[in-house]
Amino acid sequence: MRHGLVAAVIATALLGAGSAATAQEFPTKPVTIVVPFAAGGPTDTVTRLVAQSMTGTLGQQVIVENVGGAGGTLGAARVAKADPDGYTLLLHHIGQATSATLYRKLSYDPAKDFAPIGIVADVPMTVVARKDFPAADMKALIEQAKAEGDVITYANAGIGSASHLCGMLLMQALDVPLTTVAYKGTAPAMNDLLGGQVDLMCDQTTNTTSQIKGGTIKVYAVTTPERLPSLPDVPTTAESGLPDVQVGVWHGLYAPAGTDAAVVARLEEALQAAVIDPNVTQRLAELGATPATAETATPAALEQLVTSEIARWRPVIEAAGQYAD
Amino acid sequence: MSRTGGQSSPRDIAAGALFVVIGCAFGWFAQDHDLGTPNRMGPAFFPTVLAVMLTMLGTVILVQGLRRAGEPIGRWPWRAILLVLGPGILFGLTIRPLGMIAAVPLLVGLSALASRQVTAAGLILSALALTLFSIAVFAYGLGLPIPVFGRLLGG
Amino acid sequence: MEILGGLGLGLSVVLTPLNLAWCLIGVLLGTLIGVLPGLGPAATIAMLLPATFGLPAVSSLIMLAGIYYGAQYGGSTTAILINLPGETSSVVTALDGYQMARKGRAGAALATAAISSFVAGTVATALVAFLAPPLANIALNFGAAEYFALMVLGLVASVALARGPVLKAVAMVVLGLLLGTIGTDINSGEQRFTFDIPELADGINFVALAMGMFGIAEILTNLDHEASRKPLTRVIGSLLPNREECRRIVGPILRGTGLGSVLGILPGGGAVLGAFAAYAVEKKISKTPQAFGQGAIEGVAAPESANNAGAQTSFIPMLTLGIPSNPVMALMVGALTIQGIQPGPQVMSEQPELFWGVIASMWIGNLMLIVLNLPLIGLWVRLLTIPYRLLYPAILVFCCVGVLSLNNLTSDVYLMILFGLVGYVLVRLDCEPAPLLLGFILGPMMEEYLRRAMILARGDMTTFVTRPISLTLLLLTLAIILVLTLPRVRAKREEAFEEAT
Repeated sequence: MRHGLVAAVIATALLGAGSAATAQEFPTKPVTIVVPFAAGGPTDTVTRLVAQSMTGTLGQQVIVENVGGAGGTLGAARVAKADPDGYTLLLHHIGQATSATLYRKLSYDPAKDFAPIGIVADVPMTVVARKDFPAADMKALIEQAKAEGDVITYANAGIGSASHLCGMLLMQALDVPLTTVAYKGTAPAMNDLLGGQVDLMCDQTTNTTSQIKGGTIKVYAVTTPERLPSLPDVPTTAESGLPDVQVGVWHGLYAPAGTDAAVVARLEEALQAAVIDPNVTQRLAELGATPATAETATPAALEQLVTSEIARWRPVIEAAGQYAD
Repeated sequence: MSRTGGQSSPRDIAAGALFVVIGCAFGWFAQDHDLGTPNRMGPAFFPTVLAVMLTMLGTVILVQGLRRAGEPIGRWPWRAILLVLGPGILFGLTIRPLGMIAAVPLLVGLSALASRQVTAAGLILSALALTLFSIAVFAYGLGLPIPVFGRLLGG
Repeated sequence: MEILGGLGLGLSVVLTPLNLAWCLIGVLLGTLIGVLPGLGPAATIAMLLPATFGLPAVSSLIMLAGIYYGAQYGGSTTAILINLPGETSSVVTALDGYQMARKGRAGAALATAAISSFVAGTVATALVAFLAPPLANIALNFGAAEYFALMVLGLVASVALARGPVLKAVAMVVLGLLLGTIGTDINSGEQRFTFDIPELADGINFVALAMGMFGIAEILTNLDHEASRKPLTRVIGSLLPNREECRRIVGPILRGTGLGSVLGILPGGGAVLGAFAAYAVEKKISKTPQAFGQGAIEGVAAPESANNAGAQTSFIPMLTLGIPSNPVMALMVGALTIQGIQPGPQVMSEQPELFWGVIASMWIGNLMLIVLNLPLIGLWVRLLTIPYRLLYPAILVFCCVGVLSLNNLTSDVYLMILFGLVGYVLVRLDCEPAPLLLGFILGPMMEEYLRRAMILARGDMTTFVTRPISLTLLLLTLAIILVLTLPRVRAKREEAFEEAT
């Protein structure tokens, strides 16, 4: 009640002044970026890198707040319902688009309740197997999968994780249901893959590159349109006959819907500066991630990506019949 | 607490009954889900087995409690329960709108009343000291994202 | 020889003024956040991560590792002084440590915790240095069936944690297992017992549960007995364990170190079993098991050494395989990747300075911790002379702020308060919270491993007995059940004998 009253008083006071004046001064206090995952994960790392760079550009502290839980939907819900003043932002990955289908009882609309600011980065994925898995290359893997079917086990890091999404896409492309083994996170799944307890996995280069280089796991393909500079000998899924298996864990920055356009523009400016900041690009490259470009770190590009990804994943998830609630 | 409760043990009876109620509740709500097969156990499998176990254990504890003597449960310290748990809830409600500057003194001031040995000076001093300490250590020292001044106080 | 050369290299890396300073900052910060309940090393390390970008990789890892094991040291302090375990590992320490404190032996309990941690840290560091690669293979050979067998073993042993009636302890374990099933089922994605509350989708937060059941419930108990509570106006007894006590803790420390080291290597839940298992073993082999739970010094030494040994050996999978075994290790992996080092099998050969530097820093850090902590004991014990009416509001503040700092969800504060009430009611009904907490920790893992083992074995139950490690663990469980039931007669005879004299 009191909140409403105070808001009304402030709104009346500001009515004459107009919002353009406040937008020009933005930001006058610290900005918070909500990461909807626990601290230390790849998304958290990306956010902290970007936040540090944006602090410099905006001249105000950009604080990272981890609101983990429920596949990123708790943190996203908090930002969706926050005041649209540009001081509470969300940095979310591909889950922002897939949660629209994975969660049937979402308290917000991932497409409509946010004002996109821009794409931040993209992390490619790799199709990998245990070291002693018989198939020598992707073609042999396809043949083996068609012959053996669910004898082959596929590890994922839990419903809605990048490895889960990639697995659904892979099984759909192969038209073979493999036996899915779910884990709580990438680390235990990778542990079982190293130990030879499961056969296949598809995961972000962040997690797989060093194992591939160390020869502890086998790699079949990268899920990008072109080969990766960090893994030049690994063919793409398209080269190996599975052109539909293309996944990247893209990250986007959002404000709540209704945020003043001038404020969004100021934030976009800071994001644009961050994605060309050598401190950020260099670290992102080390993580195996590709930073966004001047064209993609824009509201229009992110909006288009969210819309197209929601449309793309909806039939895949519905066909698999796997929901997170 | 030296008094014995006659021919039964109220603590065991209450504990057994509590376990039975909780076991039945879990068992009931577990049936919203699929039991599955041993090869592919469904989400209801593990909780159902546990709920049955808890209900059985509760029944045995209850029956044993009826048969043997034990201590009474005793009086509940309502004043302490209300004045410790209540301010805790209030802290949760006030921390975001008001921030530490108001939520901490409210928590300290109200919970201090739970003690029968509370003094006015002790209450005010500790509220002041703990508020300053919390702001200095949690907000500034460790940089936790917990507001000092909440939304309503312009933070 | 190669290893000695490695250690020499490591020492030469650590013993530079700069790295020593980072190590000191790390352990100091770790001790501080360990002492403050609820604040964990994971949150602190995450916040400090950006600050380490500018440091060399070795220095940043040395500091972050210092925070981690420093927090293990500090975590036992609040568990002993005010029955407030802020982390999984200090739950067991609270059992006997707090009882010692109530009997005026807080100083001895804290000193025992520090000494046990130091010895365990030293031994485990040596293990990491000499046996890291072969030990890492143990972790790889642990499949779902083996983990499940290990969990069963842990649960059976947990009944030994109870000092009250066995039946109630078993019921509390089962209740804990049930509470652990709340949240999203990882296989189907269905939400169980969440009643559409999104905050419950990831289950009940362990820290909220533990701080409620122990810390908040203890405040209620103390306020109920306020009139009869004797204020500790002066520090009773020596601050250090006496000669007799020193002799008694040698065995528990060594056994705790062994158990903790082995279990610490296992990613995904092995580490939390260490403290529980060490305590259960000591209680089982003790000539005076009835003293456990009443302030037995062995009950502090064993879990503390197991904790610290586990904290050190949990670095093995990270350093040799690139697999983080807990959230803190995941952060270290993050820190390394940001430094441009991909943690994985090649770190040992490609980055010997880093590998050996971190290992050597662990020992130096442990040395710093004991030198810092022993003199601090006098100060901590003095805290107990603060009148309780002033102390408990402070405990409440730390609990509330601490639990809020975990995920920034106020729902965690409400859950903690709720479990404070539940814990208090259960204590009044003679049901102890420790077995419930172990059930809660193990429950979700047990279910996960059981279901995964069945999927991998295609529903063939014999998978648990045809795999050698799993079979061994199950046979061990069977042996424990036999020992648990057989010597009951002997224990009863001893009790009768004691009463007769």
